[in-house]
Amino acid sequence: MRALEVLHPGTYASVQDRGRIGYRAQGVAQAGALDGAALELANRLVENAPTAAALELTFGGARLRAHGTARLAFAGAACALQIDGRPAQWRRSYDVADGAIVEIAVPTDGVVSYLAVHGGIDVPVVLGSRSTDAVGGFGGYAGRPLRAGDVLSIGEQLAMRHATADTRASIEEGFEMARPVAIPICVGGEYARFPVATRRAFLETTWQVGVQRNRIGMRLVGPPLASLCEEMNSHAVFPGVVQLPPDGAPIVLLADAPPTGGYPKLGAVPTVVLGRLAQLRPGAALRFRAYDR
Amino acid sequence: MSASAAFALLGERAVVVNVSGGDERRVQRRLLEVAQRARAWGDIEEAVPGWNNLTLFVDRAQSTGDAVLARLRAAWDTSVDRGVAHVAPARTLEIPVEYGGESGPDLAEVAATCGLSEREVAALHAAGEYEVYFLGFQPGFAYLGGLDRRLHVPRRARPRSAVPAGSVAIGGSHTGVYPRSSPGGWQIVGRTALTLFDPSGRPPALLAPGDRVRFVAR
Repeated sequence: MRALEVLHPGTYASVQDRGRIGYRAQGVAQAGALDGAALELANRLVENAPTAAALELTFGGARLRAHGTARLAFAGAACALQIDGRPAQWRRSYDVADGAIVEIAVPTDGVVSYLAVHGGIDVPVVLGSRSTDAVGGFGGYAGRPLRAGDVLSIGEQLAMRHATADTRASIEEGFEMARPVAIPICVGGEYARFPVATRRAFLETTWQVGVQRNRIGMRLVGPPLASLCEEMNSHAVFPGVVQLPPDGAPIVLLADAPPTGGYPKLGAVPTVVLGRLAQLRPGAALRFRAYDR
Repeated sequence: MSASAAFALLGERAVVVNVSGGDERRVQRRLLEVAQRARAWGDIEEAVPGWNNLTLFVDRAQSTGDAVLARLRAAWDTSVDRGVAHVAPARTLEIPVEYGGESGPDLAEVAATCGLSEREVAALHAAGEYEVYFLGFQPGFAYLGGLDRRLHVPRRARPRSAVPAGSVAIGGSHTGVYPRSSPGGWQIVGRTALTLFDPSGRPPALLAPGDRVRFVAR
């Protein structure tokens, strides 16, 4: 059996694919990669289908061992990388030997990184996805984040195409970031009902990503905004929705957010921007730019 | 007060109808009927009911939010407010519950808040005819409407970091059962041994919107 053994998972590592669609009405979160574009790139580098599952690492710092040969690629937050003690490059694919040790350092910028393997991480498809649902305790590897000692099967290899210089060349990602990062938001939800001062401050404040960030959401730090006094009925929410809880600190929901919530909403960040947002570290500065649909 | 519906887009993915006023239970039934119709449209990824609201996730390869919004408006306008009495009960599920003691650590506090005895709270809770309004919060967690007004109690000021699986709890005007151990702020009055969510099940959630539910004291 070809497999990847987790020797050290880093801060938080899990198996993710593009996420779970179709089960929100049963209370199931979307889950899936926080940075979908980086997952796609990692899969592309090893000639996987875009639906293949990969490892998502948080702040790198992981170590793995190959059981059997494997073709690996790395994308997302760039980390220093060593394969059997030799430096290797980010955003490239490598054929590694049986027993090879892959060491991924902490990234200098960004948060989440992806390790894709040709054939994909072969965990069972649960409710249409291989993504880990850590709240529900299913999907991914044993329904939980990875621990040292976990052995992840690698899916069947397709007829191995001989890798050409071209497919091995690094593919550029749009990872350049202005400071503060401008995040487009389609204002909506209860936006029009917030006081004018709240709306203005929301768009004019340079927000900082708070230390309270995980796969469920990120809390933003800035001057507290006056929220609505009324209680909201629970309603559907999704990754990208920006909520304003009574404490006045906006929360951007991410992939593992539950499918319903009860806080008033300022709007929603478009899906294509969510990856960039999820790569912002605590302390990073961002501003929202309202756009008309 | 009659029901009034407000329609809006939320971001690029979602179309929402929010209903205010009207009888909560009748509004919910009408929304569930609209959700059922929307699932057959072919350009909807998911139809997700909330509490007197409904969100449709648009399949953007097939359609646009504006097109779905127009259709949602028409579907709501042509849906019939049949009234509670005219809707044939869908399914009725019985949930066996052990009230109080270690199974219901907040029963005493709920009783004190309501000015009732623990026995009376358990009896009132078990006497209710509940209806699943929607699922959310965590996989298989059903928000049940129809809680006796005397049992409406606010959530705990400080949420518990771990509510045991199967806990039967009250949050405001709703009651529900925690499918899996998780943090939670509702008041726990009892516990059931039933499995509320099984990812290998078809469907995975035991309860579905529209189901009728009865709690049976053990």
